[in-house]
Amino acid sequence: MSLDANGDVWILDQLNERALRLSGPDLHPSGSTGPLPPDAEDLAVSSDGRALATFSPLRSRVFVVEAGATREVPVPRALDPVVALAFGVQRQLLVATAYQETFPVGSPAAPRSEPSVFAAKREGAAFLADGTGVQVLRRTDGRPEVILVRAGSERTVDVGRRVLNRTVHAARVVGAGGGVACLRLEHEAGAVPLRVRREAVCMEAATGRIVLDRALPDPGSNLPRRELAMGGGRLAFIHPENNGLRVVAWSVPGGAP
Amino acid sequence: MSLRVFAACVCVASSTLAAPIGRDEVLERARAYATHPWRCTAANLRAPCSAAYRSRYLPGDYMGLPYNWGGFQTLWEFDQKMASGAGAGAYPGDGVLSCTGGVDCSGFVSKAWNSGHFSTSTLNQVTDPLAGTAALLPGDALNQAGYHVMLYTETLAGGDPVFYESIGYNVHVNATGGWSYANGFAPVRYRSITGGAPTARPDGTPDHPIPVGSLPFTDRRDTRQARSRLLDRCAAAPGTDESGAEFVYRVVVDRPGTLSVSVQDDVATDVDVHVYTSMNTGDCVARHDSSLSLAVDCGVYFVVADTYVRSGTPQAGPYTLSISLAPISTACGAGPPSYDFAGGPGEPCSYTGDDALPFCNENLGTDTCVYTSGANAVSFCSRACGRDADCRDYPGGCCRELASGENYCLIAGLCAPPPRPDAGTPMPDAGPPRPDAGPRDAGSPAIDAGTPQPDAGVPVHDAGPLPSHDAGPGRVDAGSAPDSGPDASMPVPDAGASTPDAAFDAGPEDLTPVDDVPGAASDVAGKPCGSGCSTIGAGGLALAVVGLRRRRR
Repeated sequence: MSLDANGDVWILDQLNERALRLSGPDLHPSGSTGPLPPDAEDLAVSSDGRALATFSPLRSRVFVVEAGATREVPVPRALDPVVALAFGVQRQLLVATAYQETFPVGSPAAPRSEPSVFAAKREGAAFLADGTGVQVLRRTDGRPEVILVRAGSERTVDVGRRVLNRTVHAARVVGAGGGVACLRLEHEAGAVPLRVRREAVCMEAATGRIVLDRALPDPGSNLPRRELAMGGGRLAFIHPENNGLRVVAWSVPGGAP
Repeated sequence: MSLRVFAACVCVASSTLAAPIGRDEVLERARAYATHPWRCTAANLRAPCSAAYRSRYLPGDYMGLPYNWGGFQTLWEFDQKMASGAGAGAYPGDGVLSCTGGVDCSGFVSKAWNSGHFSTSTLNQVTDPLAGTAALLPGDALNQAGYHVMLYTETLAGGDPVFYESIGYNVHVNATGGWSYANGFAPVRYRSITGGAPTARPDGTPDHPIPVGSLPFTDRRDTRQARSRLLDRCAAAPGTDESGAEFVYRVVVDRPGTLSVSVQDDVATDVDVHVYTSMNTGDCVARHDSSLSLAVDCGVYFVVADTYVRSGTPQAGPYTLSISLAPISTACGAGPPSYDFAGGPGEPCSYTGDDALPFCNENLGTDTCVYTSGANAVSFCSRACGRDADCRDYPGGCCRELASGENYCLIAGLCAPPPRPDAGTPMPDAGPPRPDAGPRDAGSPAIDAGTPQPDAGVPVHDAGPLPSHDAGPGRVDAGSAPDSGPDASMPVPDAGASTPDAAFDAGPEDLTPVDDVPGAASDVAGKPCGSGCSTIGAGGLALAVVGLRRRRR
């Protein structure tokens, strides 16, 4: 799932090799595009909504579909593992890894060389409007700590840390926009078998104020690769249910680009 | 992960526990399945045993074994299947086919454990339940009987787990789902897995760097498990505190070009990359927080992933290192600066009469200077030995007895066949090795034979801490300082009443005489042959031994 700058929600339908667009406050289906590569995983939408990018871990490539043409950008296999894809400026593609680092891999017209990809690394799983990177750490006391980082002369510099006053099993940055960062928090509700309770929390980076806090339904048997995504001032959540895919979007105060 | 729905595991049964296996090996095996390169050709799109089968793959190169319903194959078996035209992967709708390649989820976990083939429903025969995810260690699994199983490898800084699993298209690492992905799974431990948390790998130290077999190269480790904390600063950035633990890699560059090194690291982890031309920190020619490139000539380089220390706290943790080379069309030059050690096996050495020569270097495996006299006098660094095999680093060399009970490695020119018994030479021969006469046996009778010992603290026998590419990086650190060897205070139990310093000054004529050899005495410049001075029937040369120095290790 991905959101464009208008807050439209795009969903990768891997089985049918297409992407669906849901628009407006009521998230009505407003179109689809395809075909997309059969091994596509993860989805990104350009800010103007005209280009789609999907990631193929098998071939370690990003495929960009625009105006009926499909072009590709190689991704170094050493970026391991890739967890999210995004568009930057000028169709520049950004790849985020599980280490909460982001690498620009270039655009279809100007793919980057592998050393250049590594050299351009930015710390952060997502970025605020002013370019500040957002990472999250689970402290030894179990509380999540949001770390705000900026590029220094060489090494990244911490510019702020915000600790949430709740204990979690894991925390993940799912998006950022404006001056707000959003997290997925997981809690262990049962040990054997493992039972997980989740919530989505958005925090104003400058103050640490919680601007959105939503309990999420328990994970089912099928878990979307990216069940939470942020864009256009909205946070969206998808959840498979017996009668189909449930899609929810919340407005995030202060989260507009 | 929509593919998960059709990727449940086939039911199989097996009955035996395999041999114990360490967690490191489990993870290595899992990585091998996830990174295995293979090629899908047109021949792999169909399966010879099923007319209805169609592979989900397209021709091309892929990494990671395909998901294959019911598959339980070694890497070799898989490669053979692909080469023989088996289908690439299969799903439940295809049925369990003998003519497709890959592994399913439980087949993969079973292979990672090197066990028999167990399914998600029979894994309980060989696993024990864990109390919860907090008890998980790398190499344990999360299982949901009748559905899916995956191997747990680590927990990231944010608390998210990382799994290896065979699901969807292939065996791969999964760091996207979080614990939600494991909702409903039970943490289990394979009964034959041994050890607690994975131990540090024995490699990656300056003495035993991780060999980089080919470029491009990628490696994933955790500096919290590194054994080496020797490299604290780099000459290229002496103000940066790199005193945390490091892993060392050895790269052989066979073409000039641009070497690019980069590191990815987890949150709260700060691993920096360095390039050394030797393990001398003065030869650290480049470093960076995350990525560097430098022009390199042909030669050996050492890449170091070193933990940065911020305000006294090492930022150790997991990282992924990448090394690549962009060659240029230029012939190899002289290579990076190298060191020319003196005092190695067979090299000229200092003895009374030619004090200008270097001393033998224990760090290079020599501790004794053997020399001949006469018109074509030679000297060479040697060591005690028990048999010829102990002298392999002496090309064409041998182990010969120079005096009673004193066997030393000799250079090729002095290794004439042992004289016939009727020649009257009292050389017993190299003979069977004595139990106490190993090549580095400090307590061998050869050394205890009354030969005066030099002072253990006298540095003259150490060539000093000169590093050498040939010598291996560890020898730099193992080396003694030129002015005070690391063994300077080490007791020399057998030194007895000898006067070490005097012994060092002693020429061969001061050594305890051994049985004279007919016709030999005159070869030693008119001096009687003494202990450590023996004629060995090799061109009438007389040999003397000086500078015996024992070291207990």
